[in-house]
Amino acid sequence: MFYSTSHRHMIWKEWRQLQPLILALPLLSLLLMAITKLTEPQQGTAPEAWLMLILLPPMLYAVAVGAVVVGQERDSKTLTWLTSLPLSARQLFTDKVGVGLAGLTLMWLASLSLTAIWYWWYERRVANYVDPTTQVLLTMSVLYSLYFFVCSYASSWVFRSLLGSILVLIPLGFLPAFVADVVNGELFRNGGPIRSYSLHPSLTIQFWSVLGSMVGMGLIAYAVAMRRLGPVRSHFSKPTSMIANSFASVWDAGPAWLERLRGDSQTWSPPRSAVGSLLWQFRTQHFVLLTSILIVLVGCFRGVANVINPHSSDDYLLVSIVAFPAIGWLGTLVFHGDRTNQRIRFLAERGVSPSQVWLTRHLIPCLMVVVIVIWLGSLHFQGNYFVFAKVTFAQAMLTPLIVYAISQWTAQVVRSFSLAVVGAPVMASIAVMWANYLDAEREYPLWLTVIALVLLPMVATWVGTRRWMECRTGFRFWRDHAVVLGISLALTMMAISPWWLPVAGRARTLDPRLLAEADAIPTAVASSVVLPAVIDSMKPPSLVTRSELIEQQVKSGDGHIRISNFDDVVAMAAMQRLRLDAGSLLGDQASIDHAKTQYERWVGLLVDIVVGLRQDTLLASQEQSDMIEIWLLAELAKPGTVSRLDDELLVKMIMQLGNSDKRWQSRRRALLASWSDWYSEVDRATSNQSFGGYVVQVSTDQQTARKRMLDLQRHIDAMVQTIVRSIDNQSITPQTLPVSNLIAVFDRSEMEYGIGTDANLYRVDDVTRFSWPPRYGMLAPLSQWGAGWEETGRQWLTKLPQLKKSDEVSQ
Amino acid sequence: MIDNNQSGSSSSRAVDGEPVISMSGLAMQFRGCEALRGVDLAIPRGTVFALLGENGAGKTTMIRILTGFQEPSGGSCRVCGLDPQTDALEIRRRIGYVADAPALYEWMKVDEIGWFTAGFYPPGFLEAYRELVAKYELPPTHRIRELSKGQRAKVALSLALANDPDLLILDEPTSGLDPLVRREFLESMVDRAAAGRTVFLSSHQISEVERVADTIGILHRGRLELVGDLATLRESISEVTVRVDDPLVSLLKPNQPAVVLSEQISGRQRRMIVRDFQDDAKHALASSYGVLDVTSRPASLEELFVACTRG
Repeated sequence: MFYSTSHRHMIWKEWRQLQPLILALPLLSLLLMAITKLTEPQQGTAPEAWLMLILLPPMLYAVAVGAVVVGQERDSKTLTWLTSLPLSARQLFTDKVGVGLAGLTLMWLASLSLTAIWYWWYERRVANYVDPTTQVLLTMSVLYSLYFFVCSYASSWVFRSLLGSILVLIPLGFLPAFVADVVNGELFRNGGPIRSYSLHPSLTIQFWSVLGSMVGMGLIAYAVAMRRLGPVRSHFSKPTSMIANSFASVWDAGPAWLERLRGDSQTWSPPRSAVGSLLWQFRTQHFVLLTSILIVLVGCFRGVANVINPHSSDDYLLVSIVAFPAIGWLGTLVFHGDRTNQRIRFLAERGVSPSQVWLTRHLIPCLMVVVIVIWLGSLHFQGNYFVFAKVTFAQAMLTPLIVYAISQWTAQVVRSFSLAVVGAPVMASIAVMWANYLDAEREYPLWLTVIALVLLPMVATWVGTRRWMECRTGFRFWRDHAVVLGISLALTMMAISPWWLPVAGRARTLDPRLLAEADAIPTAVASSVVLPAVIDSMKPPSLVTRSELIEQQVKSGDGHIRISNFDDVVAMAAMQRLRLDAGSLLGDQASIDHAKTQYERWVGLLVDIVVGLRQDTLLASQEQSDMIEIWLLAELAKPGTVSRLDDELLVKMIMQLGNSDKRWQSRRRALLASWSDWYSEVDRATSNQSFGGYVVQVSTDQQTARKRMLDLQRHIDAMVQTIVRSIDNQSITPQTLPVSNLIAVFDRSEMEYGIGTDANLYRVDDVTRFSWPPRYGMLAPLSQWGAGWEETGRQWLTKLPQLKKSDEVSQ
Repeated sequence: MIDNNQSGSSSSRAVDGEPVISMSGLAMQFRGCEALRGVDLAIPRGTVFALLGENGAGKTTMIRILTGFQEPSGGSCRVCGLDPQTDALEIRRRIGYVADAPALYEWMKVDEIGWFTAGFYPPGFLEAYRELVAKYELPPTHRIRELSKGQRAKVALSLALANDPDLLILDEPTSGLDPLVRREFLESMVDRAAAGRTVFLSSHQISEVERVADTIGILHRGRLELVGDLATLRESISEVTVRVDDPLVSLLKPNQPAVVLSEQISGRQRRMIVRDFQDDAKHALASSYGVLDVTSRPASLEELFVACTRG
């Protein structure tokens, strides 16, 4: 009876202790999701973001649970009180672990709820996300959350410092992967050194390595907990062997090297100043933690820079996962190092100036952050772009400062150390996301970001230091912080007001007339391309499929035709011409007539396709039209073609090929429409896009994907406006204007722009090589706006009256 | 009840001009609780002032206000001629303050914490601190977290005394000290007062207060019930025992200027703590109807404390 009652009461207490964490994490995740929802375009976001956000509560919970349940109790000395109660050490241990596990289960349930909200917001089907990769990731995440949970308990029992117990989870997090690599290498290597392991461990090996590491850490947690909760033993009082003896002597003299480093304080002369005293205190108090954080940061950046693939965007994620908390914990140390047992009151009671305290708390961590920033800068100049994935250099430099500033502010505001340790990096991440959004989407000036997200949080803590020192965190303390936070928020929130930027992601410098025109363009339907009867009569299987697809696409949604090429149609027309040539050679009139009819039908179909595609507002349709027109021009130039075509078809074809103005208007409209559509694309920074005849290939290749979205947008804006202006001014002349203009606008090595045959891409300096006739391969270039073939088309138009006359003469 | 103003006037005999601590109508209200209710007090230089009061009487609140850790809801006060609300840091630099649960950096060694604190005070602090450490027989190379409760109290006292402050504010200073050190410490307080320094201490230990205090104040539910010179109070406060022949007989109040601070009835016996109980009043009381006899003797400080706090 007593046993069960004591269990119940213990569980109640543990539950109350965990409540803030259990409530805060899902709310935090929800907040992040809301921010993602607000800052993403309307079409939804990538599965990776969803995974990160739903994994946040269980993962962070697993990392922090030990600090809350064990570390915090030890700090407040309630653990000692608990051990004085008639409870067995095992019961204390199992109750703490049991309630912690229940909390972890709740966190996973919260993740499921968040997933439901996510689907509700984005109207995505579950099936979209449930692919094998995601399933594996989720399964491993559950396992990893359990592993972190066990590690968190173990480190909390082992380490005296709360932050130290969380910090050690970083290397422990890599332990299963390391074990898996080693096991995998040992199993599959062919006599090579361990470092040369190249095979990725199988899922089974990964699973067992996590499980094995978890069991190992669990045993350590249990053993240390039993020792801590049991009676205090005299360490190494009875060493039984020589090794134990020597170890005991080393252990007893453990901190001796540190003592020697510090010297004997009794021989020290009095400190010269209060600042010196305070700096000594901060440095000595946090020596181990500061060094650990520095090692983590150095290891993180060096590892990413030199060992891990520098061309992988995953490394940026690794930097974020490791460096953000590390810098955040530097910020946390500023105020929470002295908060333990309210020892900061020692300084307050002696009238130490709050400004001095604030300064000396910040000096060392700030110096470390500055070193990190300089290092990041140097990596950039050495050509290591990994840390600048998708952000500008300046933004990358600013990120550690934002993380630090927000973390130190969180540390002063949040009283609970464990919540601050978990919350500071998360709050900092939110601020960094916000800063990136403002920079990429709202043209927010960098100097205002510095004021709002770096200087103001620093000012807030400076203002609040005196009350923090005096442990007076009442109304006025919160009021002061709220005021500064309000100013900071107001400064950044003004950027999302309509007067700041009319449309997210669009520069204010853009021509409003052009913008309005772009937005007003309706989605076009290439109605005249729907020619199933003609295609079906030929019955080639691939074309039947294609015609059906065209029909489906026209009927289904936005009216665009997404089939990317009409090579088959062109090929069929070319085949009929060969049949015609062969018939002529053989003198088989029946064959000649049949082939001529078919040749005319296919050429006619191509002309109709061109007419239809020119009505479409997709740039891809314009490029396909270009390709077909180039083929038609090439066909027209061949001997005998003019005479083989029906007059009506010939006139229609030449009118189409020679009508340059109409073609430019079609391109102009499609360019503007595509430009407008591009802003609503979620993955516009990474997906392939082409704008106009001088294609900007926003490649999925990593080099391009790392570039900042805003840079990309600005360049594409400039390009579109340049081309539209050139069309309006009729200043495009073959092979001159676009290339020279684009070189001026896009002289950036990281952007691939150019045109090519099929899927081949060419750099801008190759663009000049393209002219009619094509020089690369048998197929015409995908698009050639203003290139030589267009002039050829115009020449055919001028020759049309003569053609008619000659036809009349020949008849 | 004692008139605070009257008693205050007796204690405001300034040795050296302006009182070291003065407060006027000092009030502090927390949510649902009045911690201080219009306290008037003036403590002259060179005095050992003891503030007595039961738990929750408002002693620590008063000290927090005096040291600038708490802004009062009403009234005003000055410490060393400075306003705690505006010059709190300067006050803290000038005074020595030991809180009831002193905050110490537990990872520092005894000597290190003195070295560290010396950075905030003028030259001479470290030497004085080391002398005090030696005097209190503290192990200088031990970390604070390794010390016993009493040793920690000694470290806190050493840190407060090393600056030789004009005013020493001590909140329960001797809790945890062994009797020998306590005696030594209390004697040093008297020496300080003799040297013109002022000591303000709050304590539950009435016996030690009796030993060292020049002036005492008894705080009860936020109100300063009694302030006065200890010797004068001792002379003026009497315990009067009256035996009556009938438990139901009602007694007349003693003649002026006697003031009854408390009264207890136990059968045919009435016990009163009376201030300024003079012979006239005794005779008058003895000749009252139903009174068998009246005896009086000087009341102890403990009796006075109980009388003030129990009513």
